[in-house]
Amino acid sequence: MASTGSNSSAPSTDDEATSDVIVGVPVSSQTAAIGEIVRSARVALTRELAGLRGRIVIVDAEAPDGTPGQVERTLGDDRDGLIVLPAQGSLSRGRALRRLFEVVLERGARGVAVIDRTAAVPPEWIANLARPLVDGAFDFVAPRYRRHPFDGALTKSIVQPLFRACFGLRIEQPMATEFGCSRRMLEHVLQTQRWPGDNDQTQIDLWLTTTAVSGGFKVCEALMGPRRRGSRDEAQDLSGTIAHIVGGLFNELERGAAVWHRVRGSAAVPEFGTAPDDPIEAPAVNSSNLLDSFRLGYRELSGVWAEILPPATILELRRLAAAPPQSFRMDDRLWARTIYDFALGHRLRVIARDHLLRSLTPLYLGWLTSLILAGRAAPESAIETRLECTGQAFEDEKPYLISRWRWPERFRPVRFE
Amino acid sequence: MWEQTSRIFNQAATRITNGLADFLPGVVVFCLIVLVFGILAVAARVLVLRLLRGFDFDQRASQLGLAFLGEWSVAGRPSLALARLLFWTIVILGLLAGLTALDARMPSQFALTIFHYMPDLLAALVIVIVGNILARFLARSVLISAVNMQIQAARLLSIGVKWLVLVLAGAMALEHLHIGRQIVLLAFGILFGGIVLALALAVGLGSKEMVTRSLERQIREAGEDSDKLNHV
Repeated sequence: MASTGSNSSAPSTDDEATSDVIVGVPVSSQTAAIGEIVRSARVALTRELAGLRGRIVIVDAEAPDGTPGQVERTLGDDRDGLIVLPAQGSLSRGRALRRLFEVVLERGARGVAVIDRTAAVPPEWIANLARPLVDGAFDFVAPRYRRHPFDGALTKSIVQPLFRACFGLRIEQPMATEFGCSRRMLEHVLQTQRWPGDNDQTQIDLWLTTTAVSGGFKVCEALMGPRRRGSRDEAQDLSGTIAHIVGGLFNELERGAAVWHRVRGSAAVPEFGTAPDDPIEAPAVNSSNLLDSFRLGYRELSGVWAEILPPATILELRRLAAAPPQSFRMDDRLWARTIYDFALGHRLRVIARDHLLRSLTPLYLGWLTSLILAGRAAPESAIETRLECTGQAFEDEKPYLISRWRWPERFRPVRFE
Repeated sequence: MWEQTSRIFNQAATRITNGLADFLPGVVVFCLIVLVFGILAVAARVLVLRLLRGFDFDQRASQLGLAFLGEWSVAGRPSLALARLLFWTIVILGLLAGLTALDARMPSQFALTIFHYMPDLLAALVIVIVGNILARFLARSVLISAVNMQIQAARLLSIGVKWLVLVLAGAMALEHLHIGRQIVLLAFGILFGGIVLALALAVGLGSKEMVTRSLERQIREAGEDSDKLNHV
């Protein structure tokens, strides 16, 4: 194994070569916070997970950026318990994670906590991700962040409810870039599962979550504090982000169709750890801008939507576009059916996939406007209830998705152009 | 005199009979060729129609932006239009091939000219079809991107791009067909040069302040929005 660092380059004893738990950080570009991340992980391993043999593994996924040099500058000679896997060419996040997982198995660790490269996390949160794995109680740990209900609306409006309805577990962040995996699950994904290739549009993080859920592994959520901006938040524009995230989700639906067709209802997952309960400030949003975007979208893109959505949905969207702000409310069932129709349109390639995904942007902004207008003066709990209703609507409308998925030829969109 | 007239008449009759005897086999061959090509055309039409319907071509054509093919047929179905196009192409080819069998100078030359023209005709047809697909694809790309950027004139931009590509494809097709080569090039250059110049003048002179205000507003609003709401 090519590596640098005092303990990894030349392990002298079996004790040094093996670990109980590993904290992994895939680094795909220069990371200013690498020093803080390592220090925080070190505190987590020595204080929060005391008594366990822990290592920190940094996977350099981009050759020219000089991550090993940056680590050396930041930490100097203080490289206790640190392993830096130097770049072997430019690696995708998927390949970087695979490399990390192979090291975890080589070192005999009971689990790995993967941390996003963008900013340091408190040691307690790293420990929350790792402890359920080393205790042997769980195989996959997803993070549960403390967020305002308006924050992360794309995840809350599409990813979370669709994952819940299809895979039957209420996980807050099915596509999180921070998670924990047990040795048992790593062996499963590395040895028995077809690892997604670089050209595969599958989101590797979502792929791991769906593999854990559909593979019958024990899943829990680790309570984390307020979410920092992750590496996935760096996308240039909203429509690009939607195309990336929702496209990955729809690909997973295609891959796991045999599994989710059999799933009925949903269950909450156990929570692990404690998180601060400080109130979180609502993000300031200009709802009239969002509403204008939806109306402009309806005016110009209804012809494109008509190739994806049935006429009844287009009619409801027309009514919604004409509604004044005070009565603007997107029905949860309408939203659920719309997303299901887009998922099916994506599967059948009714139009170019990128066009289909990007044309979803005004509809998503319409849903967001509806949430903001309804919850602006309401307490957080009321907005959470509304989000729960959205999730329930996705579950209720799942038979619609299944019937359309199985018999797509029964449906022919009507062209208005 | 009677003998002389009779001899001339006999010679003329012999010439006509010989001419007819030379020409008739050609006519028979012409009829046979036309008949064979006619049967081929009917068979090809039926086969292609069945194949296209088997592939659900009408539905796929509309997804690929080839719905305009349907406008060529009364039934409005692209598969029928393509089958008819193939039928008439084979029939016309049969007629042209038959003309060469007549061993007449004019029809043969005409047929050969048409045969020489066929590659250019096919290339022009391909250019028009590909141009149409590309125009629709780019028009939709521009429309969706412009709407997501909240540009009010999204439809106008989309139509502009669509016609730009269509006109370009049309000019290229005409160039291949050797029709009005110079005129098309000149007209194309003048038209688009004029449009670009007119836009540059309009923006540079007439709407400078409006464009500045619009750009400033867009940059300001983008900056304001990006910091407040995290969608992921």
